[in-house]
Amino acid sequence: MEFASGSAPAQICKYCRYVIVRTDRDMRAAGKVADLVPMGTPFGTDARGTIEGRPFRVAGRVQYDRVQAPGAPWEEIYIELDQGGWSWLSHAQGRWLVTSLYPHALPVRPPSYAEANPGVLFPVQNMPELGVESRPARAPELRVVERGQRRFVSAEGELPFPMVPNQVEPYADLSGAGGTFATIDYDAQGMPAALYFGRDIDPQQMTLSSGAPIAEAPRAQVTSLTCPNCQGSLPLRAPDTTERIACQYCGTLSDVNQGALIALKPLPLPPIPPAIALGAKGNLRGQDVLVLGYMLRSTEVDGERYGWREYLLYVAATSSFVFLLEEDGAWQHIVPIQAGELRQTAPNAFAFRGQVYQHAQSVHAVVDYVLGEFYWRVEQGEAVMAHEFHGPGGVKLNQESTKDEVQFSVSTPLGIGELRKAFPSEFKAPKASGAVQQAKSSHLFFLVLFGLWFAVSVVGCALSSGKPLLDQRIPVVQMVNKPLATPELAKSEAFFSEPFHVDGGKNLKLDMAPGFTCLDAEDSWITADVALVHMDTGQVWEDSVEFSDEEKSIWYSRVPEGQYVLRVEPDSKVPATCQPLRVTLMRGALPWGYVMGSLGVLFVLWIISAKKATT
Amino acid sequence: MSYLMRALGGVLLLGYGTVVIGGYDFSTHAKSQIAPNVRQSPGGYRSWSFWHSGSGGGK
Repeated sequence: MEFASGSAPAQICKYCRYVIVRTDRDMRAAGKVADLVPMGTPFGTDARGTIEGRPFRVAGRVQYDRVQAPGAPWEEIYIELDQGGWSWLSHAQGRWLVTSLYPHALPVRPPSYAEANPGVLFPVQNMPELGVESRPARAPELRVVERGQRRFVSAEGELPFPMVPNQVEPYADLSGAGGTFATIDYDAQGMPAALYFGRDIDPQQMTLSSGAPIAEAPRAQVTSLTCPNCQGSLPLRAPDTTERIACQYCGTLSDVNQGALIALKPLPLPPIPPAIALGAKGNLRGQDVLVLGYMLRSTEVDGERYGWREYLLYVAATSSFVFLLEEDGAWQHIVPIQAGELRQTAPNAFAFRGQVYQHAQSVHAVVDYVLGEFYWRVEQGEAVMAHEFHGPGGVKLNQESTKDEVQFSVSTPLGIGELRKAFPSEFKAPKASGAVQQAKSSHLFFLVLFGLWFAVSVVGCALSSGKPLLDQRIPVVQMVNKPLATPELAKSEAFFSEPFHVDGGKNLKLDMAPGFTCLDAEDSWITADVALVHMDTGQVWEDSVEFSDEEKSIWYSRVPEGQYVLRVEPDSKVPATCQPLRVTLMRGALPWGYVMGSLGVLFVLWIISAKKATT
Repeated sequence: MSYLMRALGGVLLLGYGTVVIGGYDFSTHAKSQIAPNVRQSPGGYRSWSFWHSGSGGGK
C-alpha cells in the first residue's frame, strides 16, 4: 500500500479489507470492514469528473447504516478536488448533495446531541464564507431535521480520516434555505465534534470522465421477490430505495435486505382496498409516477377515530417520492419539502414561498394498515405528531414529528378528474366515508328531527285552537269590602267563576292581564291569589301572582276531566279608575316557551354534532 | 360526541312532543284538598276555610 505525500490518512486495503491508518511513525490496522453493498453508483473509486467545472477524483467510498434501523445502508463518496480540499458527495431521494468540513472555530456553538431536538434552530448568519460547499451565509439559520446514530460498516479506497469498523457515531442533520444543509458529528459524550456544511448540486452540473450519466438517476427496475409467508410473488418496483414490503396477498410485513425478504410479522390486510392499484403507472402533474405503497392512518379525537388513506408514489425521473392522500373522497397531492425552505413567522405560523400558513390542528397520527413498498421502515402502529397549517387556496403545510425526526410537506387539492386522467384504468373513486359520512348522517338525522319538530308544532297548533273555557273581567277596585277613606287603597273580595267543564288530556293556560292604566302610578301594585278547584274531587291548584305591566300566565299540566271553578282574590293598591283584571282560561294552549326553546336547543345540538363529525 | 348530540336531540324532541301534544307542563303549584263534607255542603267550595276572605262574596 502506498500513502503518497499529502494524501488521505487512512485507506482500505483492497486485498484484506482492513482499515490501514498512517501515523507519524508507522501504519497500523484499525479493523476489517465488511464487503461493500452494491449501490449501483456511477462514482467508483478513482473515477474522475467535474463538479460545476471543478475537476475532482473519487478517492474512496464509505457506507454507513443506521443503528436504530439497520439493514438499509447508504453511501457517501469521498472526492478530492484538484484545486485542493475534499468533500463528501451523496445521493438521497432525488437530491445530490455535497458537503465540506467547516475547519474553523465556530462563533456559535452548535446544539449538543441532547439539545438537537427536531425543529431546533442553529443560527449561522455570522459564520464566514468558506468556498462553494461551505456557505453558511446562504441561510441565516438551519433547522434540525433528524438526529440519530450511524454505524461505519464498509468502505473502499481512501478515507479522509481514520475510521474504525462498526464504530457508532451520533449525528444530526440540519436543513436551511436555498438547498443548504449541515451535518453535526458528535463525540461519545454527545458534544459537537465536527460540522459539515453542504448544499444541493444540480446533477446537470456534474460530469464523469467515463461519460456515465449522472443526471439520470437509477431508474426503478421491476424485479420479483417471494413473500416469505405465503410464497406469493411480489414485484419489487423501486429496488434502489425500498426498505420494507407489506405483502398484498397475506399482509406479511418484510424487510428488504440485499435482494431478499426477511419476514417480520403478519399484518391484517387493509379493510379498504386501494383506490389506485399498486404498481399502477401514470403521469400526474407532468411527472411519471409509479404507485408503490398504500397506508391507512387514523387519529382519535374526543374518543372517535378518524381515518384517511395515503399512497406512496415513486417519481422515476428524480428518484424521489410524492404522496396522495384521500379522506372522505377528497384528494390531496403531497410533495415533501426541505425544512430549510420554511421560515417561522410566529409561534403558530410558517412562511413558505411567499405565503403564510397558520396552524389549524395537531393530531396524533397512527399507521393502521400498510400494503406495498416503502422507502422507510414503516410498521403498523407507527405514530407521529402531525401538525397542519392552512394557507390560501386550500394549500396546506404539513409537519410530522417524532422525537428524532421532523418532516415537512406541502399538500394541494387534487381533483378526481386529474386522477382519472393520470390513471385512466387503475383509478376507482372510493365512496365517501369517515367524517363526511358521519357529517352527512348527522345532517340527515337532524333534518328528520327538525321535520318531526315541525310536525309536532303543527299538531300542537291545531289542538290549541278553540274558544276559551273562561273569559272574565274581575274588578280590582270596586270589589272592596268596605268603603275606605283612601280610595286608591282597595281590598278586593274573592271572585268565583261559574263552574265549567274541562275535558282531560290537555294542559290549561290561565292568562291574567291587569287593566291598561292600573299600574302607571309609581307605588301601585296588584297581586292575586289564584285557585283552580276540581269540584268533584276537591283538588285545588293554588298560585300567587304579582303583576307588573305585562300579562301573567299560569300553566296547568294535563288536569283531570271534570267540573272546575276558578277562584281569584286580587289585592291591590291602584287608582280608583283601574279597569278590571281580565282572566282567560284556555285548554290545550301551545306553550310558546317550549316551542322556541326546543327549536333553539335543537339547532345548537345540530351545529355541535355537524362540527364534531367534520373535525 | 356526534352521537351524543343526536341522542340529546332525540330526547329533546320526545320531551317536546310530550309537552305539546300530551298537554304536560313542568310548572309547579301549591296543591291542597277540600274535604268532602265541605265540598258536598251547600256552597261547599265557596265556604272552605282556606279562603282567606271567608265565605262571603260571589260575583
